[in-house]
Amino acid sequence: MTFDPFRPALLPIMLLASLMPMIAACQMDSRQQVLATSNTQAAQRAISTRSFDTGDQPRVFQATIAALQDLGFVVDRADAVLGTVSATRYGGNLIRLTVSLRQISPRQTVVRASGQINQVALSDPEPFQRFFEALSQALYLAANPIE
Amino acid sequence: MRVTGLVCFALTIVLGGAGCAPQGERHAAALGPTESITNLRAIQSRRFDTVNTRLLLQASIGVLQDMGYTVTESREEFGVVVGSKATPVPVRVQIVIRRLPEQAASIARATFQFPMPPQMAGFMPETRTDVQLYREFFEKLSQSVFLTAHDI
Repeated sequence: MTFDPFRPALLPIMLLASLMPMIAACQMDSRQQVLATSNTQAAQRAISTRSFDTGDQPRVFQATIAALQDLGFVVDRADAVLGTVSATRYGGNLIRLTVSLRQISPRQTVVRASGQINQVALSDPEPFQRFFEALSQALYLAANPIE
Repeated sequence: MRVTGLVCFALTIVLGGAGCAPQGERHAAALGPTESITNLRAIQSRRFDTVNTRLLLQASIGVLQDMGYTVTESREEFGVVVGSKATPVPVRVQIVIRRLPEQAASIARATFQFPMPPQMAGFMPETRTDVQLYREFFEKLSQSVFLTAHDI
């Protein structure tokens, strides 16, 4: 008796067998998507974080919202206690940003931005630079890179 | 003829019964555990030897930002941070931080969900339970705790 993979009785089994690697690949890809980081965690923080010489967190918080508005974003939610703002900009691209801020000393506040353009994480330094320029202007303070 | 009729009747009862559990049972199952609760809790939790829950919450926000998530909720009073990410299969994650009573430690618990079914036949919204996903996530969270504690 010869082996005929197209024998009707074998078809469902062959179909299932051919789908197994695809299912495994999907599982792997989805894990990478869930946990994906475009740069190393430390490198990504270096390009997306600046410190400002003020310990006045409410002032930095307000300036963050003003800077986002200047750049055409609308705030989705803001939490002054933990210091996070999430905002969206519509247009040619859908851009979502989250800005977090932390007072690290009586005279220093650290601000970090992160986000997605369409379905891709922002990993290029330039958009962050633009955001921090806008924030710098709103605060009348220089944006210092973190060490 | 009579026997055949009886068999058919019995089959109808058995098959119908199997497909249709009593309503009370079905509703109870709706809130029942989806996985062994202790097993799932172990996979989704990590202990951190600190009582600084604010640091852990800020590190949680940090790791969400590292992974390109948008923070959609953050409430210090409840120790909760929620984020979502628009990937081809949208995903969201909740992190809850709580202090362990009478110990100098806290627990971080994370839950990843795919709330929206992608355009794939037979795919249902689900909570992720695979061990490797949570292991890798907690490695990133630990790194974030370290970086946040060093003001990076």
